[in-house]
Amino acid sequence: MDIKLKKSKPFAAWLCFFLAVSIMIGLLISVFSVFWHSGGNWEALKAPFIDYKNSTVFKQRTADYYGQLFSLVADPSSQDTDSMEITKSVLDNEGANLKYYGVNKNNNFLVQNITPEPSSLSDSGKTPALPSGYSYCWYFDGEKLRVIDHGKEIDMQRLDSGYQRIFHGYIYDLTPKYLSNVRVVLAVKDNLVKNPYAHSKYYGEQQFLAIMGWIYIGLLVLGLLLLVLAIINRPSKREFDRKLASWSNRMWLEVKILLALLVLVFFGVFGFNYYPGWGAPVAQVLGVTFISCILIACFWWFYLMLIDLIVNGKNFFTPNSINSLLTWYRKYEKRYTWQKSMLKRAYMLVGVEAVLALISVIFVLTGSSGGTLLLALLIAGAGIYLIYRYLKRYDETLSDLGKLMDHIGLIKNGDMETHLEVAEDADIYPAVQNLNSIQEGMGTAVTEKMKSERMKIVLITNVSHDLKTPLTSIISYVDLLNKEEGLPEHVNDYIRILTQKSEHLKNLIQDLFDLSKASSNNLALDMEKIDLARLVKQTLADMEEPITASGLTFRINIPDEPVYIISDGKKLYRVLENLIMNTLKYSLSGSRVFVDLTVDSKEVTATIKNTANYEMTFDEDEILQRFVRGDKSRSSEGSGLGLSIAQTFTEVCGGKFFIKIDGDLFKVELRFETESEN
Amino acid sequence: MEKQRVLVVDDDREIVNAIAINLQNEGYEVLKAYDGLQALDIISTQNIQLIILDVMMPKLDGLSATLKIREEKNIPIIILSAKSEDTDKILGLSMGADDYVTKPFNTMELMARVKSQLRRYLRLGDVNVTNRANLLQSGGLCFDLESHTLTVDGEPVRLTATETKIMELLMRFPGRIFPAEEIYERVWEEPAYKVENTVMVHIRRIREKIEINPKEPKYLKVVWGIGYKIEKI
Repeated sequence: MDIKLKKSKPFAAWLCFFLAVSIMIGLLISVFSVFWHSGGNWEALKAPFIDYKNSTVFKQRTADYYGQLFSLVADPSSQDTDSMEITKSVLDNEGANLKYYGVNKNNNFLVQNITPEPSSLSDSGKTPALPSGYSYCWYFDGEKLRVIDHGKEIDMQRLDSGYQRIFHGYIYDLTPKYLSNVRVVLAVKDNLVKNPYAHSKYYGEQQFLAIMGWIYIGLLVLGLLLLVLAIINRPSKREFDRKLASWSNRMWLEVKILLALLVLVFFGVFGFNYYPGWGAPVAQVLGVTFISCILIACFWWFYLMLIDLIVNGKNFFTPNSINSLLTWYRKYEKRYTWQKSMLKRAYMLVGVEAVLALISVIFVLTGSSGGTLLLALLIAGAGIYLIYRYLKRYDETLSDLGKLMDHIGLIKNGDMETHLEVAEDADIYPAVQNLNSIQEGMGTAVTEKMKSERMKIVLITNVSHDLKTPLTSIISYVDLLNKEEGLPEHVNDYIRILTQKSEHLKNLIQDLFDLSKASSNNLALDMEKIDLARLVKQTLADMEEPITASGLTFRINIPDEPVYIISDGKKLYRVLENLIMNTLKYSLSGSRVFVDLTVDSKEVTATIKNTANYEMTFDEDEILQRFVRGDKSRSSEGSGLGLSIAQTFTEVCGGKFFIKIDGDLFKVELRFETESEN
Repeated sequence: MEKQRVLVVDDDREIVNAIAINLQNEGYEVLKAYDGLQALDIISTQNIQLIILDVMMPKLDGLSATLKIREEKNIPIIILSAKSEDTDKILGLSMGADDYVTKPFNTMELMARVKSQLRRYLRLGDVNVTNRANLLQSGGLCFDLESHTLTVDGEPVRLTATETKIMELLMRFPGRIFPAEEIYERVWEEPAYKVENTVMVHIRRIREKIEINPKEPKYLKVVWGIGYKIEKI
């Protein structure tokens, strides 16, 4: 969750920034457009925040209604039934919000929705008496148009009256003499109400402006809030900027420029040429929103280009079509010859086939004559031939690859002699050459290895012979000395030591020889099916004398039925003999030695456990190191190779050898796969 | 009685000398050679009763020399070799040698083997005369079915009644491997149950009586994990 938040933080910060700026631009554009279209009148901007009756919008609308009414009353040429109906229906849409009365005494034309007629209309210069609840009115008294609000006349000539640009001069197109008999009153209800029968524009506008005011304020607050958030999280925002830059830097420069131009064109066409006019307010808002969106999109596009330029610097210009083409070509150049030639063949096939297709299309389009059919056939033939050539070459390469695979398999299986032959112009010729030399190298290495193995055997045999020959002399002459009589006692002591040590040396050499033969896999094995249970019993019986002499108690747990394994009995006897000799040598006197044989479905495990008569300060691996002896003092006889030989012999005889030390408990395990009885 | 003559062949003079001293102490006359060709020379010109022959020698090695000697003569040959593998022993014996001793050897053991081989060689005539159907033989081992006695290279061996029965059984089928249970059932004539130890004890005792080196038996062998057998020689 934390990580997710952390990851999304730059985006969130950037989104704040984006929304804040977009909202600000949108607000700015709408303010500007309202200002612009209201002819530079700041009053229009105030509309949502002041009483609707005082707003320019209201005055404008009233002027519009009044103008229509006045034209109808004053101009006899428009006093046919249709015009009267249209004007009346426009005014009646307002329902109770509008009361009007118009009279032209020149031709006795009367239009009204007030009854009875306001009594005071005949005298010029007097304020007409209005029905209660209607204290705002426009009134033409035959000389002058007045606007009366709550009984007071408004001076419409003043700049701050709000009527400066609203009053239309067409009222005075008619001669004053004629107009002196015209009276027109239009009164607006104090509390505007909804007309249940038609759409009241007054009421609608009042509601709309009220909502718009709140929306504008809300957006402004939201925008500022987001802007503050974005400013607080500047570093995160910049991080996302960089991300955007790296994304935009993948675009070709041409695309960037083209899009920038498109954006500019859009901006020019819609931003400057769009004039919403004075239709319904909703349509105006939609228009403004549309322009805003375009302008905002323009802004962000250039913003993106800007951060791209700032972050990537010179690299802003690098990703372009020419560079891409160059890169692609360089990559192509770097390929191996065979890759190039395969690619080239594929490109050429596609290219030539395309040209042939084009030619045939042209021929078909330019109409047919006698020769065209022949030509078409020729072209088709050439195309098919090309495909055939290509496929043939492809097939050759595939079969060469197959040969290569086979050859690799051959080398894996140890064939170092056969070399792979392919045509010199084959695609994979260099690879084949390399493989052949690898094979040669490996062949040499294998031969060397075998030679050195043979050398090792010869060496072991020779060293063994060379050690044994002088030792034979030593033992023989020591033996002769032993037979001498009348020697001083101390000389006899020396001779005894010589006898002991030469015997020790003999055992050591024999063990060493056996071990080196076994571990270099030069031991002659005689593997056959033997009964491991019997072998353990035989060994224990064979060693009965030393076992009895040791005073140790042997607890033997071996199944009565045979346990068959495939192994070399004589070698395994040596293993067991070594292990038991070990326990006899290193067991705590009077303790028990456990010899177990356990069989499960696949494996038989022979275990020998004894309690050491010294502290075992080594671990399982150390004790198996050659020449390490249990007590480390090396005072006793033996080569110190016993366990090593046991391990090596067990392993060459197909078993596994484990040692476990747990306190004073020393445990050896031999594991073998069991063989069925047959 | 005329002194028996033994030829000792080894390229190591000190070894030859040591063996010679021991043989002389035992009352034999000793001839010495230091390579195979020299040995063949002496054999063809002198009357010799036994040869102790090293394997790894210059000019002509011991095994080739053995083959050459066997072309004409039947005198006992004891091979002396630093090679101790079973395969080497089997090779030597199959070339016609009578015994195989590995270096470094025990002097007493070598002397015993010399004595044993000579006894057998010199009494060979007697054995041939007394060769009857009721005589079981394997190398120097000879079991008389009539008198139920065993001789090793002509020397009688004192066996207990059970040991005699075991030897008779094994000698009847030289080379065949008998599991302990079978030996027990046929010798003790009782059902066998946990008899490995009992049989092994007897085998070990017999080995001590008939083998020169019981640790490396020549005749009575344990086949580990299978049973026991008399080597067919």
